[in-house]
Amino acid sequence: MKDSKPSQILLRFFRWFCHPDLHTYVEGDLLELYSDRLLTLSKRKSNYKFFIDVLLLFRPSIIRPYQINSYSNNNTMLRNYLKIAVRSILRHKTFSMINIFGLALSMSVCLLVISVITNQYRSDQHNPLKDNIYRVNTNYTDQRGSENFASAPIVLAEALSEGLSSVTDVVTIYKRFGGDADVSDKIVPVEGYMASASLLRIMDFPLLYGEKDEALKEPYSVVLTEATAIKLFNDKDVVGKTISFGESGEYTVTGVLKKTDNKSHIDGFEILASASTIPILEQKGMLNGVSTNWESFYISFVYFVLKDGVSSDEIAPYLNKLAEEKYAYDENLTVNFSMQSLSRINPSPVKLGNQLFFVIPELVILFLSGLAIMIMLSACFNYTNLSIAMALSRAKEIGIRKVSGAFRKQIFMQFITESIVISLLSLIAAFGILQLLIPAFYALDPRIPEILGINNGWSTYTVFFVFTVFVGVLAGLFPALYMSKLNPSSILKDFSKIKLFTKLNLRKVLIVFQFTLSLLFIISATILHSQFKYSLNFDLGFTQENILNVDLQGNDFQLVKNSFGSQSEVIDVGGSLYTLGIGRTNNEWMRNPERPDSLLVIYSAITRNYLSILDHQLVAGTTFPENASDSTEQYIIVNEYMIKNLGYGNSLDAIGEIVHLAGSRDLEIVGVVKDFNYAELDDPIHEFAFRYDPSELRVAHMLIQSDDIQATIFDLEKKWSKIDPIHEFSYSFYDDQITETYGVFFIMTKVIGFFAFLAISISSLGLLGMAVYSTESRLKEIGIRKALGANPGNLVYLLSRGFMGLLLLSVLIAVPLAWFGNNLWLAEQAFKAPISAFDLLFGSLLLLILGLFTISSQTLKAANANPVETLRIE
Amino acid sequence: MKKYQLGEFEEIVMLTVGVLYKEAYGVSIKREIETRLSRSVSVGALQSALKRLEQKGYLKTHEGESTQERAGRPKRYFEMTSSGTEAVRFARDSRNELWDAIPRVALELKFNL
Repeated sequence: MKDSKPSQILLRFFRWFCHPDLHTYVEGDLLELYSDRLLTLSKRKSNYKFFIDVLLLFRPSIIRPYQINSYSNNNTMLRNYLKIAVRSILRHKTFSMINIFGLALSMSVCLLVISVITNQYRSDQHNPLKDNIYRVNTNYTDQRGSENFASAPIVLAEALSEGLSSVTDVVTIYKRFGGDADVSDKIVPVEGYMASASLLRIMDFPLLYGEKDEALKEPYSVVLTEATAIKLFNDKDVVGKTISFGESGEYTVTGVLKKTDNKSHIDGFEILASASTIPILEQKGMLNGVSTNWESFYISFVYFVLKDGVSSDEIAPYLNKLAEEKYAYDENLTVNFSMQSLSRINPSPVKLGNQLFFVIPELVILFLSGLAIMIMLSACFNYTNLSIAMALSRAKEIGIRKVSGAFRKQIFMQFITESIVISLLSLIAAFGILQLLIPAFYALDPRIPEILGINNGWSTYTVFFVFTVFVGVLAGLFPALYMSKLNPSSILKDFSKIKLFTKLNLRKVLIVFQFTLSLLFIISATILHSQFKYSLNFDLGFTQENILNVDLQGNDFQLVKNSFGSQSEVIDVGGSLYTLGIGRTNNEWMRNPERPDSLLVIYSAITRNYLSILDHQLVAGTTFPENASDSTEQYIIVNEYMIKNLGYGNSLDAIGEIVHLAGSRDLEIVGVVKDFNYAELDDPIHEFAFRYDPSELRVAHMLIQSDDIQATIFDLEKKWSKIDPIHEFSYSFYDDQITETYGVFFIMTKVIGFFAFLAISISSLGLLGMAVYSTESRLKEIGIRKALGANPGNLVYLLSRGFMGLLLLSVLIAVPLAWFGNNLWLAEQAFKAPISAFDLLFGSLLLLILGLFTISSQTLKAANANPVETLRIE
Repeated sequence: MKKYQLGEFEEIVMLTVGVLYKEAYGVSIKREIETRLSRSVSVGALQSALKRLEQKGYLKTHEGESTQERAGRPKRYFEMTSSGTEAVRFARDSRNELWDAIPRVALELKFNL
């Protein structure tokens, strides 16, 4: 009978809810009843009856009153925790400063990351229909491979709303609208989308002026953003005014969008035109099959709203069937439609092409948070390390507290309070640093403020606070657990017997981790920088010096050439379809007429003088001949690689041979150009061709020789304004454009470099703290050694040896890791600078020197101290 | 009439406390009611009734001894106060009065049925 006890969980539950006046008596009754019942009933039945009893006791007259808590002296206790925390922070000023500064540094980065991430997660969350709205995504598979797109054909919207009763609304967006907006007194270029009338209502865009449901209904109506309204009319209330878009026609403003704090993935437009205009533009021949063709899905988007309670799985079979039917005409082609919930569009969990506007991949968020967490952990380790090291000096205090009756829980709370106070102090400092960090972050790239804005709302500040408390608990958890465990009798009797983590060597592990992390960052930044410099100095196979590229913006090339060519500093003007070597490519299928297999050839259209201006090497043949027709294409210039793959063998033999283009055009090879890098350096060189098509020139390339570049550009700008008064003169030097193309390396170098700086600062701070502590606690030993005849050199060696060993270990771990990790992304680069010994050694040496410097600042002082001073005290 | 308010269950509890005299505590009251009246009583219902009666001033309590089978938890003995006795008596008197007022015929009819 003795071993049969009722369920402890139930008893504990009873004790928890029962009125304190009653609970001992009633508990006694319960126990007595239980043991009584055991005499007559089975154990199971007794337990069951016990359970029923406890359950029936849970009634208002028995439950403890709520106010009972306020009678306990928690407030006093908390105040005491705080007081002691502040005192111990003030007593150990050096360590507190190291902790606060280190935590603040890393916290500021975390705050920045939090602001950016919470801002992204805000996307479309304001929409009351967010759980019912889905976007149709398209998976497109043909012989070239498979790709996922965020876009879908507009014609699908009709099929959805007609074919399914559970779809209550559809929204369509066509991404391309705009041009030069003519508003009687001026012409201003504006860009935007075309959208169905339902967009404003479904996607929750409030209007400042105009009717939400009517605004985008009629053809030729447009809705402006507030900024656009001011830009065009210098006024906000512009409903009823008209805007003319050249050939496209005259549009009436039917609404002005209200500027809100809401964030939507539907962004990046200045103007919205009604989608009902699309069929009219198609009739005019300005658009082609946008609203009817199932294959035009590259720049259009379809959203639909499901009835409450209908799951998207019920729609899937219909979409699959539709896709199968509509794309059955081409057996090489497989198209699948899938659905993505509005609230999951940004940040995007999957990689999708053709996004409407910038969408941050979740992978990037993970990467950013990962970096921030690493840095934060590093700073927390400092705190943990220093606190454990200081356990020696706090141990007596703990002993006394315990003897005077403190529970373990209270000591634990004491230390956690301390670390939370420290981390709250750090939050204040971090907030200050954040204000400096934000401008620097925005300055990384001009596009950042628009796409990666930060969220300043109260929700973010709440997250900051919660995060800070969490950091405080994380940093303080280990020391608190450890210190509260100490046994008062052993502390007070003979403290020297207590071994601090002799087996675990936790402190050493943490230091090694910190320095390994720092070194990883340093080496990665160095490698990124070498890659950046390599890319800039890489010989692309043509010259970029003194070449000024001018965006023609729709103007006739010949006109621009005649005007600019008259300038004496302009030596020659060539033109092309697009600037090569900065990432953009156009392609088309071409083949040797005698061979069946087509090659996907990247091409550009150029003028005759282009090759000479950019100093391309011709291996055989010439540039396009003078007599080449401007209207029908006859000739082509290809690169060596393409000659090989066309099967023409020798470049010289290939001259005069034929290249067959899709659409049954045959072009004669007139020249073979030496292989050069037409795309970015991560792409290997493949087939490339120059074509001759004077109607397809979009960029002018000018060879300039001038002593005063600024003046020349000023002159050119004046000439431009005569040719095209609407658009601004848009130019840049070719080499600058190349630098910009690889700017991402530079940005990454800066970001990783900044993290490296943080990591190394934090770990150095930690090391400094440890060095201060270990030398201070060994002052006596050093004094005695010195008195016995040790020289300062020996002492410095003795004190530094342990730390330097740890640093060397970090180097040994970090170097192979960095080499391996960086090779992962370098493998994706077709042309890359191999990781050099310098890249690896530079960081390692830097780390060792910094470490040595940090340690020796303390050890030298200790070693040179007069033993009389240190031994006399006490 | 309003002076002494006793519910049916409260009255039973009061009377049982009286029956048990010095031996009335949670379990014994429960057991007594269960055996005498053959109705089951939950600890919760009993305890809240006892608490109510104590608040009304009909019962007073004192802490008693603790036994091993109660795992050291003390007993809580209940005793009727004088106003408690008044209340029970009042309840009985008013019932008797009502009983006496019932015409004999009404009862007989019922019995004959």
